[in-house]
Amino acid sequence: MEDFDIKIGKPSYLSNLIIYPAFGDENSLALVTLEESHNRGGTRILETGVVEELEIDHSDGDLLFIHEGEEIIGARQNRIFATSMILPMGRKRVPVLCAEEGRWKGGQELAPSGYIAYPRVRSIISRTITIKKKPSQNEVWREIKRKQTTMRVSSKTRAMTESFSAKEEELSFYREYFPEREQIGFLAFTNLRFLGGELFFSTDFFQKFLNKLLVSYGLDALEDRMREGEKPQSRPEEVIEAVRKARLREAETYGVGEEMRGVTKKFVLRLLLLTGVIVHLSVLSR
Amino acid sequence: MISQKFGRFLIKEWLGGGRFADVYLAEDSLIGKEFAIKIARGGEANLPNLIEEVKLLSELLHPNIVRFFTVEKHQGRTGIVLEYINGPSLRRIIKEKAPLNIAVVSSFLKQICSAVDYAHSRMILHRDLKPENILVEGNKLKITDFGLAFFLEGEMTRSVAGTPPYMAPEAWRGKYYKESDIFSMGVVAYELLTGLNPFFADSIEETMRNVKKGIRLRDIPPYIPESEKEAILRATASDFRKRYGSASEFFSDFIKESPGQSIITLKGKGKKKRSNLSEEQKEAVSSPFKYTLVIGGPGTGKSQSLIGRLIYLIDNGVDPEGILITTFTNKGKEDLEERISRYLREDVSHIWLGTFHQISTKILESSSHFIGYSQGFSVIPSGIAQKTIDVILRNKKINYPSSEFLRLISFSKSSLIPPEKMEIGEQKKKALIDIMRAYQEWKRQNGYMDYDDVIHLTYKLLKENSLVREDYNRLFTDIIVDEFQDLNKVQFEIIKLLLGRSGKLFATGDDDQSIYQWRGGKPELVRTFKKVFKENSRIYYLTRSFRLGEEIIAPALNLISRNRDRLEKVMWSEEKGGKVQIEGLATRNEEAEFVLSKIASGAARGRSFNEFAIIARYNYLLRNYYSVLKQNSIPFSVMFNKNFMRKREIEVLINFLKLLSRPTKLPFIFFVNLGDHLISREELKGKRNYIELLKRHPNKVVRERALFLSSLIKRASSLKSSIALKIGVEYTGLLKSVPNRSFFVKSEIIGELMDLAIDFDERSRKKDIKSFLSYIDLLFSKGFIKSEEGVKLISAHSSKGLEFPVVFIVDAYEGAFPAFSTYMTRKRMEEERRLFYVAMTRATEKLYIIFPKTEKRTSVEISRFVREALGI
Repeated sequence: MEDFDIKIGKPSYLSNLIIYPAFGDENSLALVTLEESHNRGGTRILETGVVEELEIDHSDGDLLFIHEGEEIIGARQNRIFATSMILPMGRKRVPVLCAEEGRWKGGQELAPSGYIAYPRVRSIISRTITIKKKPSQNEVWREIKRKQTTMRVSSKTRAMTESFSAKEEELSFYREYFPEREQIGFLAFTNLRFLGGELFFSTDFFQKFLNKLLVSYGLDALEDRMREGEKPQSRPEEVIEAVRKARLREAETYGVGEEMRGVTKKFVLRLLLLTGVIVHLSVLSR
Repeated sequence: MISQKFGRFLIKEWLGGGRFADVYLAEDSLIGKEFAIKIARGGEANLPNLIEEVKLLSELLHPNIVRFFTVEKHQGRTGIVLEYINGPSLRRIIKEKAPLNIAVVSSFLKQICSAVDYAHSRMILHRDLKPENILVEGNKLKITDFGLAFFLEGEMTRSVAGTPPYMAPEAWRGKYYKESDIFSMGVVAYELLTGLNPFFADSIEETMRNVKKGIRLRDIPPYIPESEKEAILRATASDFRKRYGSASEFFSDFIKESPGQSIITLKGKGKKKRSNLSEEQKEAVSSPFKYTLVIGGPGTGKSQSLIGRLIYLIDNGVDPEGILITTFTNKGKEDLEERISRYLREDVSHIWLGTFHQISTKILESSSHFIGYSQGFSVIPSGIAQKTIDVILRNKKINYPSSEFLRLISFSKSSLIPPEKMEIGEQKKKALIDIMRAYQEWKRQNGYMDYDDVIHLTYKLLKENSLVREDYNRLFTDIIVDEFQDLNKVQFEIIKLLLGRSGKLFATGDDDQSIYQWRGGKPELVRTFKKVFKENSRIYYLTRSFRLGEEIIAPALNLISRNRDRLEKVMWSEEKGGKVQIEGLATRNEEAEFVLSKIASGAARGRSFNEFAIIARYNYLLRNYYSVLKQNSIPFSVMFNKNFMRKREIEVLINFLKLLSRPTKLPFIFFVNLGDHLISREELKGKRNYIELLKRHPNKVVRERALFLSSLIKRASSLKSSIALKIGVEYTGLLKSVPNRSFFVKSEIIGELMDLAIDFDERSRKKDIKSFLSYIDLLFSKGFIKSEEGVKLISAHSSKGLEFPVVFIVDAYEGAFPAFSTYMTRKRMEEERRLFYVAMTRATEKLYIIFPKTEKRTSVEISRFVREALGI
């Protein structure tokens, strides 16, 4: 990643969430998001009978992009995707994690909830999938439970999605971000820590996920907002430097493209490439 | 979104925020000065009005009010430019330090009241006084947001401004008076003193109901002095007309009696009789008798009476330097010191206050030359004492464990029974006399004393040297003793010697809370007080518990009344509340899950984690809980008994593991000998191949043991620590060979270490002996794991003197609580019952008693104590 060329702009403040815009090369790839494809009936998400796997039946012409941590709700329990992936047409079993510990009944089909798991959950998935080759379901459940206890969210089935819906009003302020021209990603900090960063291959594609990511990051920021404490130790330059120096290893890919993963002392990184172009890069606080 | 530049201000940092606005640290790019900018979250505030208001507010110049400078408008948002205060909010202080002591609260409140009075005199109301809006810079408080709530909350909420748990009932209807600010100040004062908000609830409707109900006297903890209680009650009265008319009036009532003034003021001093002590406490505190004992159950205010007595004495002209106060533990001493200095508002180092060891050391330091320590003395740790006895035993060729002699020597000193009169076998007695003499001589020659000597020699000094004794008799006019039931014989004799003919004794205690008989504590001192001090003595009873609700008192008294050797007592409470819930769960894991769910739901309802305590008979029973709490990110603190590692059985087993992990000559010889003196060190001096030599030793026993150990050492790296420990227990015969220690005690101690090893093997990636040794080293060197914040995990013994709103007594089953080791005698079972009683009475609001129905796949029975408490 030493040739990783990215520029970081000046910060904007959304209350205690500080967003540094990221600028880089604009690329052109014909990818459709899960929500877009599902809305037009081009993709179905089906139960397989196994909690940690779902079947994607993708009949759209375009390549389908799924964002790691993207939440789908319904069926026997709500799930989140364990990894970012690009799927061609056809049926494919893909890895997911349960995001609703207390429900084991329901139908066969799921649909996108419009939320992406918040950075703490994604960091757990990325760390454990990188180190242990398998994401830790227990750690994810524990984190969802911890968040709900801390933020006083009541959910009968411990569904992550309810953490978002219960805090809808407070989270709305974090949506009030206006991206800059040519911005393809961001690094996000709270008053206490570095949360994470995202980078996409184009401005348009970044903007398709921006709102969801702001809400996702907002949920962690909202928790930090309740606390006074030490200021974040990492700076944007340090994060970029860590990405440059990170030793990434190739990982199993579902669909097309290549996935690379890496874990450093402070960060967890994941990179999805297609024909040499960075489709999605995430760097999360470990 | 706020970009980095807000007008001419460069945003540098987010400082904090509420529901309606955020505050940023910003630098004025023109003059390079730092300010705080408060930016409304909504769109444009009512700008013309706001500017008019800020003009007024900018004239508020008071040392305790954050200054307003100007208004800045940028990209449709309005920012109010304020003085920047580099410090935390009062919320953070409350979170980290509350309950704060009264002196600090008074100092804070004085500043708040001064600021509020000043603003009110200019017809400006705050409307949203709360800890978040009070900033702390050093010792100085600054109130921020005067008059702003109204603007920041926008049109939508224009009719109601404020933060629900701080809003007066009339503010909920959109009406604000200066008394509404005083209401909020009363709530803040309550929070500073208790760490809790009196009205906080999950929903806004419930909060409103709580506000309407107001604070009741019983909501205020009893330790808060009357004047503060009354001031808070009046400041937060539901009807604004009944509140104080000004902040200064509130403050002057608040500090009427403290700090710096006596908590009790009695007749004859020309002051109005008024105090925060109950009638029965007052009567005891002002006892005219020479020997006074105050007996009271848990939470009846014994410590408060003790402090009351001290202040009563000082108020009546007794020189503080002539008062001696003894406590049972160092923690007790520190608590008392803090409380006394808070009430007296001065340094208390001139008062003789300390544990028996501290007091005795102080006495010996100036007089040790009278008892043969002409060059002074130093106190040796118990480890060195044991090693010295080991050497004496070796030299005298006596084949007994040193720990046993150390125990007998200690018992002889604390009970004042000379070895000649001890009820032990003749041979052992002879050896004890011999060893004790040699040990004493060695210490005297080297200027050493052990832990027991400090007390024993103080007794000897006072008993035998009338000059020294009379000196102290003249010095101490009054002696105050805390935890009287825990005194042992020699400590009691020291008290009597120090009292002399004219000294007065004031003691507090409760024989039902005596849980240190195994250390020599004598609860009978409470029962025989009148017999010992026949004349001019009086026992006072404190019957009202300020801590416990009736629902907890009743089963606790049911339980303790089963003890035969006790004084009958009455205990009652004005608190109707308190709940006891008994739960039987299938397994210990389910037990832990149950506790966890209760803590989580309590926390979700607004309880702080500090309000929960999990109490078990032994520390090892709590380990299950710290892993469960850790997994769920619930903060907790757990205390290990550091003495555990010093227990003889544990030392032997740890040394056995060390030998397996890294064999060296001396331990090898020790474990070949196993106390049998088969080979000596001299025999193998300079021999490196000692293992091989011992494997060919002419003595068959030595040969066999050496062969066994050497083959075990070879296999050691593949052994799990728990397996190695089991082999160690078998090989050393520990469960058979330690004399005078019951099988059950030993098996419980060894079981505790074994559980640690099994737990370690299950959880750790590396299960080898070496890793286990470093794990327990770390575990016990720390003593406390984690911070002192969060859920408390404590053994029943350590829980004494503490109180928590919610208590879980876990593993309440036969064999665990009561422990097997206490089945043998009635005396021990009675002490165990007292221990359970102590654990039960730690709960102020809710007590859960929990037990598993099975343990290690064997069904277990609910503790007899639970049946006794419930009368079933």
